[in-house]
Amino acid sequence: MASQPAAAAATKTLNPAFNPRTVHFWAPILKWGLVIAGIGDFYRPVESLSVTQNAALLATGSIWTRWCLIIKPQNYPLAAVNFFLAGVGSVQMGRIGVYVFPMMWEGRMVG
Amino acid sequence: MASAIAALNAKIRSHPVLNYVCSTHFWGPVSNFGIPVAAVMDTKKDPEIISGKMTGALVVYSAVFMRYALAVTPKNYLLFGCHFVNECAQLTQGYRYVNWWHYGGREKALAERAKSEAKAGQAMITPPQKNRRVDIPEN
Repeated sequence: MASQPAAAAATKTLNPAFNPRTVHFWAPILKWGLVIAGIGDFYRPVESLSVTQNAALLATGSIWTRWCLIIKPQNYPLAAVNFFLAGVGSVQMGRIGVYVFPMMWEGRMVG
Repeated sequence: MASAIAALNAKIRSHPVLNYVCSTHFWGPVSNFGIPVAAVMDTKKDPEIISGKMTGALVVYSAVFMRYALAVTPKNYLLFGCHFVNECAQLTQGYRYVNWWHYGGREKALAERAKSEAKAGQAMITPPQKNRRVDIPEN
């Protein structure tokens, strides 16, 4: 009987639209593809990385993370995807920075 | 300092247009416009650089998010517009990709390039023959 109020509370907080028949369900699943592609890019050489693309991933990932929490219904899975997308972008920016900064410091690269 | 920020924030939130421009509902779609803009610019470039897989994935992605933008509250028409433009651009790129690799677009372009190069090469070895009288044979 102690589980009944807990179950009731759960159905109230959990998003009822989050079922496989709605777009609220499939949107996050699709977006994981972008994250997986981004993680695949971790194994590419640093010289081939695009600063604009990864900066865009970082910026849009963070903005969308916040947006998913202020819309109705709130979409925590989509917010999580965007959070990881921002993470991917920041890791790639870090890789680029670590690679480029010594070269800039020594004056070997204009930036 | 905190009260100055709070006062500024109160001013922004009380003004409907300013409130919208200073909100995630606006900047999210604006930042997302990078993808369609890049795709539209790519429609003018060589079809060789089109990634078929990525284009196909983005066609599905933009279709789903066009629907998602209208399924949430508040409806985000700017996001809908962004993904609508992207859908059109990706479908254009998809058409160019399929035409290039499967419907002879590449062969046609290569043949035309060979023809124009041959013409240019020919023009280089043959000197121009302006005002040549055709009744008198040369030398």
